[in-house]
Amino acid sequence: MNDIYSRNALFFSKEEMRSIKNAKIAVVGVGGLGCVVSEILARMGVVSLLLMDNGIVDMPDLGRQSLYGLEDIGKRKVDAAKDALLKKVDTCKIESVFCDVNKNCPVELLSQADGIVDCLDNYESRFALEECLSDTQFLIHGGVENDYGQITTVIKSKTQTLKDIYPNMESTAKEDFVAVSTPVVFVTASLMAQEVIGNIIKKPNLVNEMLIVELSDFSFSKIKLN
Amino acid sequence: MVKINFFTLFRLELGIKNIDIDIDKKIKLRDLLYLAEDISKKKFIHKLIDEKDGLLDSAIILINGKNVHHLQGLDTIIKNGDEIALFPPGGGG
Repeated sequence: MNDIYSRNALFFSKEEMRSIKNAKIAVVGVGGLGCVVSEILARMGVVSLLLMDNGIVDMPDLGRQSLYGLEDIGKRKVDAAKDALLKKVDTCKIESVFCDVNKNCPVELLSQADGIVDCLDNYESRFALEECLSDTQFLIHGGVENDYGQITTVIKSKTQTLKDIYPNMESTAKEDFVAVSTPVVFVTASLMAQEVIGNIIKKPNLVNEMLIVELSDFSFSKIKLN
Repeated sequence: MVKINFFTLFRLELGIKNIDIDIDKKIKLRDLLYLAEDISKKKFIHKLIDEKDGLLDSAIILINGKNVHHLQGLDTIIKNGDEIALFPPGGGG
């Protein structure tokens, strides 16, 4: 009982640990949310991770994107993230794809994933990603701004889609710089990872519910979605 | 009774989490929001509705978990027992 996953194995059942190990998860967007989500999944034993992003590590990213350091400035995020993860957990297999979801999304690769994690930073890309989702794949959506964030699970055959929930968001101007505090990124991303695991072991919490995380008063509120 | 729940920026700026309003007959969402402003003495409608009486794009209004864009917008009829959620969702990642 001394392997990387042994403490988690004391909590989860053998069958659940097997499901976690065998799950194929795509993390789309390896910024603030994506770094923490992919690190948690790798440390918990998800072997197959697909990372997608079209960004380059820049100085302001270091304020909240946990897989990057000064030595990564100028590198592709997907490459730096893959290197960082493999230094921590060498048992996972990571495929990194440098791409823009809106332009050259590898639909074929995404279709092989059991679940997709939306760690993107704008709604236009989120809607493009959602288009790639099959009826049964789960998509964990997360978004953060200031000191709040929101999370929900989308499964097309069971829930509202992001387009249903946010019909008017696509037309909103894409902001280059979104105000965001570091703690809310880590908190929201940790909860997203929890929901990914929840979906893998068939115990999701946010199917047809949206969780609103507010650090201003430490509140977590669930809104039922119909 | 109708419950209006404020989240994120609304909660922060208004300093209130929710308002419960007793209505004796069904009313339109627009009228309910103005009633809520009167009762709470807090201005928030300018963050939901533009000068031309259209819904602004930046905030989300859910009635019983459904976006009002899929209902009748500001003309949606609100009845006792309905729950309304107002929030601008986070866009960053």
